[in-house]
Amino acid sequence: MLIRGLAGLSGACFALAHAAAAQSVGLTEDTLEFSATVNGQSVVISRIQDGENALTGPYALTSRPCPGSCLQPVTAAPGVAPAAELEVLAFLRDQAATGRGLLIDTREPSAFTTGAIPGAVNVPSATLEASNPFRNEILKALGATQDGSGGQWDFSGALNLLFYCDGPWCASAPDTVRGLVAAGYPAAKLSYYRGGMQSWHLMGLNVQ
Amino acid sequence: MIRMLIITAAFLTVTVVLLILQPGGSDAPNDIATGHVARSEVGLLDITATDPEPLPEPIPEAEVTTVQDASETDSSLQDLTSQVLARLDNADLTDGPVLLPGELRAQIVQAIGEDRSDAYIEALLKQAIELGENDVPTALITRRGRLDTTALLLQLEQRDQARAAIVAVVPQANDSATADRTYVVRNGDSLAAIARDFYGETSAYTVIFNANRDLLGKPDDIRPGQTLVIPDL
Repeated sequence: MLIRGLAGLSGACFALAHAAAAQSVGLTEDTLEFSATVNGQSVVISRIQDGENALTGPYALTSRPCPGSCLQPVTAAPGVAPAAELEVLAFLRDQAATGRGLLIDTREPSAFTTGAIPGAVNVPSATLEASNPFRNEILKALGATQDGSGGQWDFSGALNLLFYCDGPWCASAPDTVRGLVAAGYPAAKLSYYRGGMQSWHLMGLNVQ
Repeated sequence: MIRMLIITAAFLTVTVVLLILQPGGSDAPNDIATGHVARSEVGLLDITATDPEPLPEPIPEAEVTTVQDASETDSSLQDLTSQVLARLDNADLTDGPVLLPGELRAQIVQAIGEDRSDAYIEALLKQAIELGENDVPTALITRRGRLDTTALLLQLEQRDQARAAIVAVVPQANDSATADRTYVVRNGDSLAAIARDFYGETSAYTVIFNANRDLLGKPDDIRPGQTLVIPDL
């Protein structure tokens, strides 16, 4: 009786696993995969198809010490749009792929190379801080212009930027957003993906 | 059948033991019923709470700007910046003109970061002039004027060829000359650079420094946003 029970149970488990494997893991109800050409490179984004997959490693941690890695608000600054995974994809399609915007990863280069959102450009937060004596060069590269004599910035031609970093507990992206707003970058041109790499991984999305 | 009973008894025993001991339950109950919200383990408020085991290494963050030797910080920032500029230039944006002017600047910044020879940087400057760039890269000169680039510029200025290059690249003083001149310090400025812009020679920085003693303790004390008086020579 016991043996028959066990056999029945394992049979049920097998059936469940089989059903999970047969299901596809899409991005939305009707989209399985996202593709676009960003900065001349083909970007393909989809989710891990293994229904049993779970996070391990640093992005599985729940309790990073705070102060240090504290919870961030979803709105980095007034007027800065919050974004989640689907907004990131829409931004890649509508802004980055059309040359009107950049998806910016504010982590250090060493972290960026371990895996980033496909199509993102690495601009470490330190380079956009007001204390960086070379920040103006980056602002110019982002499309801001400065009048010759007085340092008055004109951001009307500046790119739309979507920022992210390691996760909801990572301050470097929202800090950078606030720094740019303080420098005069229009909040309407900025958005912030609070979930960052941790949410990206948690959704089983691929990295570059 | 007896086996089933033994298993059930063992299960009940373990359950009872767990109920009695309640590991971790008595210290910090997550009292959802009263609407109390807290993060597990690492307290929002009680930071002195004993830490049972060391936390794993946090993922490296860009904001690790511990104050090292200031010049070291500057040169690593300079490296980072030139890398970023190279990446941004690589970004194939349809509003081309937005990024193109920065390309040579980025190259110059990078060349200086890589300690390339004066001749190499001079060649880049010449190229910039040929392409009609009329904006010397501010990144060449830091606010503190400590970087080798300042010395490099001074050296370059002392040479005829390079002098021509710099003069052509930097807007001349009379462009913005007024009776009572002032100048708002920008990020990346140094007194020497301002002196060169207004008087055509970096050594005239002492004139500006003396005229702004009330603001500046030292010549390298300038900060973005300060309004400096620029006296007539």
